[in-house]
Amino acid sequence: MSVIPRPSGVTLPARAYVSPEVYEREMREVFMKSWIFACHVSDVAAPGQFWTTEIAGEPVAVLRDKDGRLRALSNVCRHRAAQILNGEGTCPKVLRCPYHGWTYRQDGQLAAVPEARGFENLDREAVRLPEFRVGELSGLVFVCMSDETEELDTYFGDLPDKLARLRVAELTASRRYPAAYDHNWKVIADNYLEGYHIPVGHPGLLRMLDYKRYLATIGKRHAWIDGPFRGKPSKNYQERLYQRLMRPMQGFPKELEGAWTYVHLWPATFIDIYPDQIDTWQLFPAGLRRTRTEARIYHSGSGALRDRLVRTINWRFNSKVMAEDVELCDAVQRGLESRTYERGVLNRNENGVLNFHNLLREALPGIDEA
Amino acid sequence: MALPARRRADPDGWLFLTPEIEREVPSLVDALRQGAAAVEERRIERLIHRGSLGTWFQYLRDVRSRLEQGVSAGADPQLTRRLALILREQYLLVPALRPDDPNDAPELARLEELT
Repeated sequence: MSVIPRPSGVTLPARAYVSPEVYEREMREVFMKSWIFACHVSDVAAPGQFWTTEIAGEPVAVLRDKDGRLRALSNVCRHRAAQILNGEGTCPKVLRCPYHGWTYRQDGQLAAVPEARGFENLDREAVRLPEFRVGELSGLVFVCMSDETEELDTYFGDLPDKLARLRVAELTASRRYPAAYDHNWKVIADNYLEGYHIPVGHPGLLRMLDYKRYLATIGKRHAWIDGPFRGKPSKNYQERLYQRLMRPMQGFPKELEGAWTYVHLWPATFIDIYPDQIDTWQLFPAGLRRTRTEARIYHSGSGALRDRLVRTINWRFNSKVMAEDVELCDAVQRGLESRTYERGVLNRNENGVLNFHNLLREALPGIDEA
Repeated sequence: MALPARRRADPDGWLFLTPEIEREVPSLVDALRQGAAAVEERRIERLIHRGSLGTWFQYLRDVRSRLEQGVSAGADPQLTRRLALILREQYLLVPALRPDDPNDAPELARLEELT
């Protein structure tokens, strides 16, 4: 464990959010050395199925090869850097670059080159797409670019046990819902990790959830945040409708039925656990002041009108919460770039943020003096 | 920077006042023997769902009144001070939501004495 003294109750300095040097260190020391969520197991279930993602700006393709083995490859052609695969789908036995047709086997080895004789000294045996570690955890696929990082099985501590009861692998996965924001990725993560702003920022959530029991429990490289429901119906019509019609997905664990649960996986993956559906939300840093995000929804596949209505209400309600958070993050981003703000303090209800900042302190020694 | 206009007009904006009261007042009132925690919890939750800024402050004035009864009855000064501080905070927060109410100054003055 780290022997770095852990400042208690203080945030990272503002400079950690606006320094290009810190950003580069985050990409190298955090994103390239962590297990990063890629996709749902159903996205790469059959041989040839692939799913593209990105880690620290590196395009990555996750695919199931013809022998059934899960692989994660750099999705960048070694000829002249074109991205090979786009989106998701099925590639047959080979990966062919759309630019000049360079063709790779599913293990990343360069297989064929158009007009190969036009290259001097091209040693095609030496050309391959870098391969990364890939693994499955509770129905979700993760990729790690570093060979030195701990195994996925133990990386998140007891999180697999907590997630296993959700049976995520059996759920139906939606398409991607992409978005982008003009915030440093940590501003967004900080916002997710605390409920202290709920009373001011999200009155609707305050009506739905019993805030005094809103609790972040810190685990190994993850935080598990309980948002228990209030017992009484809300005065808001949409919220009341949700409360009235919502029924848990088949097989949803009983102990989670009475709450909305929010989970953070280090560094930048979030899982929202609702009894009617589960979301993943991934942050992709795209620059010091820019973050792409990708959300996906997983549910039981129930086509019953009631369940579809509940999911729609849920989505609408939480889209409003999201819009409220975007405004708040806009305000924080501006403030972090001010000349007079150096560092903040944390309430006990912001223990998720403190843990996140301490993980960053551990990964990036000296960040407090950035 | 000023909050966007829609926030200033938000009828639910007052809800941000409720958490510390909801978390602390029931057990404090119970400890001061000025009410039962479960009853206070239900009352507060009803206000959160159906109340308004006006009814919220009516409730706070009622709690202040019971706090004073607790003080008169010789309740633990640490507890009475804690409750007074929590109630006082409400009056320090509310100017963000509305202009001064005639009740505010006298309430704040009494709570200052109790702290």
